[in-house]
Amino acid sequence: MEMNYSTINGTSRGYKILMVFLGAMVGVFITSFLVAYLKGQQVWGVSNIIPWGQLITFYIYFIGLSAGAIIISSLSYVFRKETYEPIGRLAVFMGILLMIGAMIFVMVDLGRPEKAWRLFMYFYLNNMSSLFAINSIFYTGYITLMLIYLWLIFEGKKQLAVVLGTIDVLWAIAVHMGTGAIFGLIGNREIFFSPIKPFEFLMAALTSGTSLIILIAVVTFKLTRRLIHEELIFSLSRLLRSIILILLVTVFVDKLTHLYFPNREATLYLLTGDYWWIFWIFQIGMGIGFPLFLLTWSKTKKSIRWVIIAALSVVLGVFGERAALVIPGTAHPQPFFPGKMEGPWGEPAIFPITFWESLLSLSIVSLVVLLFVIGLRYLEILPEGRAEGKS
Amino acid sequence: MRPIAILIEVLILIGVIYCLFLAFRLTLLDLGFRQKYDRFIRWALRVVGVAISAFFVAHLTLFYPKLTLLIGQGASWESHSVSFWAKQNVYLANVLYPISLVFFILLIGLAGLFVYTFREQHLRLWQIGKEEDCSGEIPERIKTVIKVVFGHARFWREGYPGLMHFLIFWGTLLLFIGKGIRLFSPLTGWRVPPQPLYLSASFISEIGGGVILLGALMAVLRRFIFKPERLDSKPDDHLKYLWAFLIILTGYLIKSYRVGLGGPLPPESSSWAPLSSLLTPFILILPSDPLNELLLWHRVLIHGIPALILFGYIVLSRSSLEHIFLSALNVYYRPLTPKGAVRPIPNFEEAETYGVTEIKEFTWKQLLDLEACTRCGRCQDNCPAHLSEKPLNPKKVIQDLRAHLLAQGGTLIPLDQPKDPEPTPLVGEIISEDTLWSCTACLNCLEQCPVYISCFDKLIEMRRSKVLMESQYPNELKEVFRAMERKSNPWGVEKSQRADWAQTLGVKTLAENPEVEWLYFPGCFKGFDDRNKKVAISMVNILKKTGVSFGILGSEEGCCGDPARRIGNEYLYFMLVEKNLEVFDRYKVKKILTTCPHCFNTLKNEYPQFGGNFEVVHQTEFLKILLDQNKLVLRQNSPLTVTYHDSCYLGRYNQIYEPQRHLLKAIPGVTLKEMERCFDRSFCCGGGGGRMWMEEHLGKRINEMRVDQALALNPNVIATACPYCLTMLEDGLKAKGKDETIKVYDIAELLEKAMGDPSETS
Repeated sequence: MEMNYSTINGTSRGYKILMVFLGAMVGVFITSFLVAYLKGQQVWGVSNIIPWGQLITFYIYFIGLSAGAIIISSLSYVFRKETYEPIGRLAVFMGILLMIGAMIFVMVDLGRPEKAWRLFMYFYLNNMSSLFAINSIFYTGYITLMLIYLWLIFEGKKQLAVVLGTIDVLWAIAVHMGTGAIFGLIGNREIFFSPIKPFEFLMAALTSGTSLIILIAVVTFKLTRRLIHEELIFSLSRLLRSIILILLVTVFVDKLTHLYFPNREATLYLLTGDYWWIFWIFQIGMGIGFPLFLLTWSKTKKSIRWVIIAALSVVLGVFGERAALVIPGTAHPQPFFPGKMEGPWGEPAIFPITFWESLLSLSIVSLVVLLFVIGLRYLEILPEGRAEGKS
Repeated sequence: MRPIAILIEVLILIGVIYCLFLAFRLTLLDLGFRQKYDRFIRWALRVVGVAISAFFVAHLTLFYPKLTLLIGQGASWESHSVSFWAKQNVYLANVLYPISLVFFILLIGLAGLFVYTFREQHLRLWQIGKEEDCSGEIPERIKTVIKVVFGHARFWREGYPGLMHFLIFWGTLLLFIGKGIRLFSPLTGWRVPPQPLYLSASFISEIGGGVILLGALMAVLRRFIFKPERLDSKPDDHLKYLWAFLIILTGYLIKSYRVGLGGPLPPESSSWAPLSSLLTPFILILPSDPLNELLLWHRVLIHGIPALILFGYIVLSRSSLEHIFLSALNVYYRPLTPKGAVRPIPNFEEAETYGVTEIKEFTWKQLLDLEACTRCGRCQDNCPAHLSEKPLNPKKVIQDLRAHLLAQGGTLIPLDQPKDPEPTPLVGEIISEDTLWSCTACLNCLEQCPVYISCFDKLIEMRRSKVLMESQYPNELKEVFRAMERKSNPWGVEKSQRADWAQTLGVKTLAENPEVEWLYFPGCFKGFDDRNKKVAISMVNILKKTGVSFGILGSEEGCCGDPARRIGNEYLYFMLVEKNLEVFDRYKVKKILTTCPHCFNTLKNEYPQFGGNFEVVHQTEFLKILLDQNKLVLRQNSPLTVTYHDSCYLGRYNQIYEPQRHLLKAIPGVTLKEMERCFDRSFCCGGGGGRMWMEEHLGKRINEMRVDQALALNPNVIATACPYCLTMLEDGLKAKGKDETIKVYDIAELLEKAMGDPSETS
C-alpha cells in the first residue's frame, strides 16, 4: 500500500518554544564563531600538539551518522523492505542534514572558512595522494547525490530512487571509509595508523546511524503524535546488535594488533593514560558493552524502553569513540627519532575543554537540529498521523 | 566616516547574498521545483544567509582597525616614485585582466547555455503551437524593431513610464558597450593606459550606469511608492532593481578604488571617470600596496560574481528580465497584416477543429506573445471591460495563459511533467466563460501594448472553439445567429425591407443601374434601425447634393458578417461573406462606400482573405475629400459644443482619426472638445465584438461610462461616425436622463444640417 506523508502543523506551544530556543542558538553560533574568528583559535582547546579538537570530533562523528542514516534508508528504498518505509524519508533527510552539519564543523575548524573554495580549485588536479583532496570530491558528490535521492523519493520516482539509492549507499560507504582512511593512513600517529580503520569507521557509522534513527524516530513520532510499529524498532535493534558485534571484533583486532611489541606505547597510553575513560567508559562501555548486553539479554531486548536506552548509549558511546581517536590520538607525542626526540616535548598533551569551543560545537549541533525541525514543518517527511500499528 | 563606510560594505555584501539566494530560490521554482519545497528552501536559505552574513561581519571587523580613509593620504602619495598610470597598469594587469579573462570565458559558457535554454525553454514551447508565417518583409520588420525597441516609439504615449524605460534601456546599452570594450581589452594587448579607446569606454559605461540608476530610481518610486493599480509586484521585481543597483554601485566602487590607489588623480580624470572619481576620496584602503591589491581583488569579485550570476539568472529562470530578448523578438515577428483583420481559420472547409480549445492550438507566434508579456499593465488600464469591472483583464488573461503554457508546455528540466499531459480546456479551466464573452474587441490592448501583444486574437480563437466545436455561447445569441443566417441581418427583419428607407429618396439599386461609380453599402443598422436610417438618409442627401454617382444593393445587400466573426461564428461569417461576394462579383463592384465602420473594416481588411478585391472607403474619408474639393458648403452659424467619440473600428482598427475632426471643425460655429480618452486611447462604446447583441449583466455599463466621460465636457452634441456607437451612446444618455438636452449625431447628419438648402451648394 502506498504510504502518505505529511508535514507537521508546527502550531503547538512546544514547537514554538523549540524554535525560539534553536533560533537563539543560531545567535550563540554567530557569537562563538565571531569570537574565534576575531581572537583566533587560541580560545579553543586546540594547540600545536593537539591540532584537532571538538569540532573535528563532531565532524567525523556527523559523517558517520550521515553515512549510517543513508545506509539504513536503503533498507526501504533499495531493498524495498516495507517495514522500514515510515522512516525512509526521515533517514535520507537526516543523512543530508548531518553531512551539511559535518561540513559546517570542518569549515569552521579551518579558521578561515572563506578559503574552503581553494580545496575545489583544481578538482582532480589536486594532489590525489592526499585523502583530504579525495574526500573533498567524495563529500561534494555525496551531498549532491543525497539531494537528488531525496528529491526522487519526494517525487515518487521509485525506480530511479533504487538506482540512485544504490549509488548513494556505495558512495556513503566510500565517504565514511575515506574519512577513516584519513586517520588510518597517518603512519606517524600510532593510534591512528591501522589498515582496519576504514572498516572500523564504517561499522561505527552503522551502529551510531542506526541508533540515532531509532532515537529520532521514536522522539519525533511521539512528539508529533504519530504511531510507530514496534516491529520496526525491534528489527532495527536486531540489526544494531549484529553491527555492534562486528564493531567489537574490529576494535578488538585493531587494539590487539597495536598492543603487539614494540609499537604499543601509544596504545597503552590510550588504554591507560589520561584519557582511558574516553576509551573504556564511552567507546567500549557505552558504545559496545552496555548496549550489547541490553540488546542480547532476553528481558531487555524486548522492551522498547531498553532498546531506546541502548540506542542512546550507542549514540553517546560512538561520540566517545571519535573523541578517543582524535584527542588521545594526537595528544600522544610522535616518535620522530625514537628515544631521542619524541614529539614537541616528549610528553603527552592535555586537551582542555574550553567554553567557546564547546559553545560553538553545541550551537552547530543546534543549527542542524533547527534545519531538521524546519524540515519537518515544511517538507513531507513523516508518515501521516493515522499510521497503523501501536506505539 | 569609517563606521559608515564599514556599514555600507556590510550592507552591500548582505544585499549581494540576498540577491543571489533569492535568485537561486526563484530559479529552482522556475525550473520546475514544486511549490511544496519552497518554504523549506526559503527557511534553509535564511539560516545559511544569516550565518554567511555573520561571517562577513567578522571578516570586515578583522580588517576594520587597519583600514584608513583615502582622505589625508596626500603626503604619502607624493613619495610615490611610479606615475599614476604605471600603477594603474599594475592593477589592471594583476587584478582586472585575469578576472576579466575568466569572466569572458564564463560568459562564452553562458552564451552556450543561453542557446541551449533558449531552445529548451522557449523554442520548444513555441513549437508545440501551430504554424504561422512571420518570415517575410524583413526590412519592414527591422524598421519596426529600430523604431519600437531602440526608439521606444510605443512607450512614449505615457511620459513617465516611457522616460523611465528609455533611460534604463539606453543606460544599459551604453554600459554594455563600455564594458564590452573593457572585456575585450586583455585580448588587444594594449597594456599601458591611457588608451583613448578605453578612456572613452570608461566614460560611456559610467554615464550608462548613471542613466540606469536614474531610470531605475524612477521605476522603484513608481512601483513601490506611487503603486499604480496596474502593476502587480512579484519577488523578481524587487530583486532585479536591488541586484542591478548593487552591481552598478560596486562597479563604481571598483573604479574608485583602482584610481584612488594609484595616487592623486590626474586633473582630467573627470573626463573618463566622471562619477567614480567623486567617490574616490571616501574609500577605505589598507596600509600597503600588496594588501590593497588583494582588497581590489575582492572588490572586483564582489562586483563580477553577482554580475555573472545575474546573466545566469536571466538565462535559467523565468524572470521578467527575459523580456530583453523575448519582447524584441515579439516586435520583430509582429503580424504585418492589417490590425483590424481577424485571422481566418486555415483550410476552413476541410478543418476538423476550429479555434483554440487547448494551449497547443495557438500559433507559435501567439505563444511567443504570452511569453513576451512583461506585465506592464497598459492593456488593463485601457480595457473597457476591465474598467467597467467585468471579469476580463487582458493582462491577467495573457499571464494566466502564460502560466498554463509554462506548466503544461514543459520546462528546461521537466521535473513534474507527465510525458503526455491530459489536455486542459482553456475556457472553464484557465479563462472563465464570463471573461471570454466580456471582450468588446476594441483592440485597445493591442494598441497600448508596447510590444504588440493582443489579447483579443487569443479570445476570438477561444470563442471560435466554444461556438463552433461546443455550440456554447450566451443564450441571447441564438436568435441573432438564426436571424443572420436566415434574414442576413441580426434583427431578423425581412430582407425585402432593407432598402425601405431609400424608397422616397429615389436611390437606384445596382440591379436598376449597374453603371454607377460607387456602391453605397449602408449596412444592417442603416437598413433596419430607425434612428440609423436617418443617418443613411443624410448621407444619401449629401451624395446627391454633391453629384456623386452611386447606387445601393437594396434587398440584395447582406450583413457583412462582422458580428458573427467577432463572436466566433466563423461558419456563419463565411456564409455571409460568400453571399456578398457573389453579389459584388455579379455587379463587378470596384468601389464601396460604407457608413458603418464595422462593415468598412471587414470589407476592407477581411474580405480580401476570401478573394474580395475592391476599394473600400468610409463615409467620413469620403466626405473629407468632398470638403477638400469644396463640394460641401457649410453654413450653420448657431454655436455648438461638440465632442467626438472615436469608433474603435475606424480609429484603432484603421487609424482613421483626422477626417472626422477635420469635418467637424469645418462646420461654422462648432467648438470641438476632446474627451480625456480620445484618438488611440478612445474608450469603446461597449457594442463591439458582438457585445451589442449580448446582455451586459456584469459590472458597470460601458456605454454609460463613456457618456459620463463626454458629459464631463458639457457638450451640446456627441458626434460619432458609427451606428453601434450612436445607438450605445443614445442608450447611455437615456439612462443618465440627459437625452433631452444632449444629442448624439452622426457626422453625416451634422454636415447635412450645416449644408442647409440644396440650391446653395456649389
